[in-house]
Amino acid sequence: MSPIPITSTILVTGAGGFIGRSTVPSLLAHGYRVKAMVRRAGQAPFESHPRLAVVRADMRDADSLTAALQQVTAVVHLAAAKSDEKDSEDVNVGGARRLVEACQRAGCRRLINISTLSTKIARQGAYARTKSEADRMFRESGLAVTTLLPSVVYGEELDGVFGTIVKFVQQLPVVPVLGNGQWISAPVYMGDVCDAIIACLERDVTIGRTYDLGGADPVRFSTLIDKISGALGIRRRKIFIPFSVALAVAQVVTRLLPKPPITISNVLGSNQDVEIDIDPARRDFGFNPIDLDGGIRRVLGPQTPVAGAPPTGMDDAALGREARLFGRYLLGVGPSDELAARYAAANRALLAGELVGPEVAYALRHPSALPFLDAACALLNPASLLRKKILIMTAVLEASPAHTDFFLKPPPAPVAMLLGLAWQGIRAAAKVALGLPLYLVARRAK
Amino acid sequence: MNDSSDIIVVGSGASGVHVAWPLVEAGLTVTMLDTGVRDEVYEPLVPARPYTEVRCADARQHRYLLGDNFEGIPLGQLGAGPQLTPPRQFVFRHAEALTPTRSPEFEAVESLALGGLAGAWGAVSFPYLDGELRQTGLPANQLRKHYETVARRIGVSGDRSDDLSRVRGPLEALQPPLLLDSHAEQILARYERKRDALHRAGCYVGQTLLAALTRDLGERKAHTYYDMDFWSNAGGSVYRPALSVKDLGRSANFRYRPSYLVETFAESSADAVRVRARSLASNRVEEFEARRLILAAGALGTTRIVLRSLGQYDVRVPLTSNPHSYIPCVHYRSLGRMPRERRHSLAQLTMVFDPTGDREHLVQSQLYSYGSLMLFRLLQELPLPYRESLRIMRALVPHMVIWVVQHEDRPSPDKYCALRRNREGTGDYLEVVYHLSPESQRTRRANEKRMAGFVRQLGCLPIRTVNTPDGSSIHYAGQFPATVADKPLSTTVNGRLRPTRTVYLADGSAFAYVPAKGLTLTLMANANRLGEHVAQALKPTGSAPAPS
Repeated sequence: MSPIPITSTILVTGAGGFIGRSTVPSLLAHGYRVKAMVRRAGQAPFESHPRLAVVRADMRDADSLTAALQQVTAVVHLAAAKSDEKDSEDVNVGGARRLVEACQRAGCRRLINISTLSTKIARQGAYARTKSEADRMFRESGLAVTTLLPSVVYGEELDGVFGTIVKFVQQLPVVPVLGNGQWISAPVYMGDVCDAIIACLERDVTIGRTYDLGGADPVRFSTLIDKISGALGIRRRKIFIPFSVALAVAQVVTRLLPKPPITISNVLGSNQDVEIDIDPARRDFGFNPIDLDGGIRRVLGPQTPVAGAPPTGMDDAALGREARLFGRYLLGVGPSDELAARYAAANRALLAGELVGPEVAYALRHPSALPFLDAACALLNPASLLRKKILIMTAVLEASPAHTDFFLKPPPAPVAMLLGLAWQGIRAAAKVALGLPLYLVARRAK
Repeated sequence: MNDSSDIIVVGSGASGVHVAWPLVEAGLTVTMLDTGVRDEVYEPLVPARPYTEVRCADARQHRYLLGDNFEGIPLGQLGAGPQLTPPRQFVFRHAEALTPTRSPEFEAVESLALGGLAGAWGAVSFPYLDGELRQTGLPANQLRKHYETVARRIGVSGDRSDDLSRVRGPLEALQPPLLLDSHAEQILARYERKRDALHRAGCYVGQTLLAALTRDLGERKAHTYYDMDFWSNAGGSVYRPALSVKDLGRSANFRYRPSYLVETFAESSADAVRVRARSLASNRVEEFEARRLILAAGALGTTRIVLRSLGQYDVRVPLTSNPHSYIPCVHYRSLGRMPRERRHSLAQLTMVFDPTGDREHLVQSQLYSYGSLMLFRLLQELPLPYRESLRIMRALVPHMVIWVVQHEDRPSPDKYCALRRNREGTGDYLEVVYHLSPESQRTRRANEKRMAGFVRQLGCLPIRTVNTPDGSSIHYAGQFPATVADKPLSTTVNGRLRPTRTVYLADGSAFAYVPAKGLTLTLMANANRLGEHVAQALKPTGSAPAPS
């Protein structure tokens, strides 16, 4: 099949939703004719445009879909039930089946299916489970489908996870954080998502493939909150809500409310890290997302540092864990709280602006991998964040009377010393050998 | 504001204080304009105790070992070297912002500190040979007595008659040498056994002449051997120009005016010059007037002031800088011995290599023991996991020595600086371009190879040779070279800047050549000579004396 010609008509399902509201104007600006599909007439907030038609249809109604698909060359499928509603199954899975059938009836072959990165997590809520099922159905439909899996999407319009954080920071005295805030996402700017959708429409190489859509900078949830607070010029304390508690709350409110503020999917989605690899998207359609700080500035205005607020990328809990991990690695004993705090301060002073690198994140998740990752980085990537952080910890430990015995230990007699050096050399070589493959794994586990 | 004195000296570094000294002694009124950045944080923190004791006992050691902003943890860059510990970094504070330099690769380091760059000086103090002075454009016959004067003033210790006396200028005013540490003792003993062969190859080793006291001098105390020289200067035993500023301040005719950044000068007559300086307190420009102006702002600082005042934007002036390298070695002959803790951490020995046999192109190297600079700084050098590097370095460091090699440098068209206007129309910056010619690079490599060979013969196993970035020796010179020929943007043999009548250059900007010796002692001796010259010219007041 040839790329979608610019004069074609594109049907956008879920056009009134968060991503749809930006996708429709992008497609129009790009020259396409657009059918914006909404469930109710009041859902279409679009300015009138000679190439725009608003159509009413419902994913639960096959006939309405067939009608909407008349004279349509390609579909951008955004409609979804996201809040673990009772009809999630019907909208997401049933809707996918109806959409596929309607496409086949209408002779429309091309479909860009926007799903979610949380389809990759192991323990899934209703949203992720039904979207995974729908993705499978699209892949097996025989249509020319490209599936996109965006991470957290943010834009000028403050909605979604990002918008919720902004609201919380602006309105609440403390910001509730699910779990320990260590969850890693790669927030992706709305404009980049829209560009990706259009780029996929234009490139047949993307057919039959699934792409992660993340921003350029993976970031911990807790750090994302700090960055947003920083951009808003507001300093907020965070309270960390244990997952078990959050999950119980979500289970209750999902049963009680039609549109719950927190869903089981939210909790599960921010509990489990997924691999985000945007290299295929870069390669196949030139995906080139804006960096996070730039994106935040774009949507929230210029960042004005707040006196006293900690620089972004550095929260105490994460740095404390790093300090203990590195201290145990280097000396076999965990550092005192005072030294851990000093390590955190040194990170803020020396590494401000550097986000969690993949190796550091991997080492925190898999402490036993640290020696091997360190060995691999020493050879392959000596300037990596992991190496810098371990060096900082070494310096902090060395400049403390608590560890002088170790650092100023007199050298042994020559023979013992040579044996010792050889032993350390062998250990180092073995770690390098084991570390190289592990390093490649950790790098991929962005 | 109009402020008037006989002499204005710009800068309080090695050149500034010693050009001021004879002028103040002659009773002339001297105003020293200086940016005057000080360390008020670390100096009072460091206990005057031996290094090991400090490490074992001082709970606040992290403050000066790592720095309050962790500036003592170098991530990645070697730069001007590990010897720039947090207590020494005030020497370079604010310079980047206030005296901007742009260069693709040259590490231009400047100081706005009280005492200037010599606040981080290694205190190595060898007088130049006559041939070296000739190449530098300085009159050897005049300079000898000034070396003695300055050496008595600052206190230089060393061996008067060891083998190095053949490859350095003479110096009588010496205090007894400092005690060598155990590495240096062993290496020197080995040198004695191999002396004849090494001499035939052009290699001479002896004890480093150091501006450090072995006997009390005034209020300054003899060295304590606490091995804390990278972190503090207990008793003021190592010479720093800030000590002289204090001494000068006791004279009523000397005024130290800190927090002024001199921007331009303008001559108003054959006997008057006005200086415009920005007050860093009020950010207003103030005017000062004097009969003579002496610039001692450091070669790059002086270059800025001169080119700006004379409107010589975009004009290239020469730049020389000693290339230098580190050769870290394992002193394997010391294995099995525990080094003595009572030691100093300055240079222990000096090796001079005469590659041409005529003492005109000497290469010089100083021996340091690494001991008191902390292990963590070395770990980035090993491509090994940190846990193992740490244990390897812990075992090796007591047996590690570092030879710091320095080469001569002379002007060439590929090494220059030029003052450029900022595109926005306000302010300017110094552009620095520095390319060693392929021939110089070959000579440098060949000489380093020879040096590494000598080092091996002395029982040290070189790990590798680390070439530091251009400019990191911080020995800059050559912009307005002393010459007999009367051409603009040069200096007379007495330091007067052509074509001015009242402006003198007392720092390295007037040195046409930098030998491998390190220029600080010669800067001071030459400054003292210029000071005496200007004092004599102004002393019989009344009629305006003709400039030299």
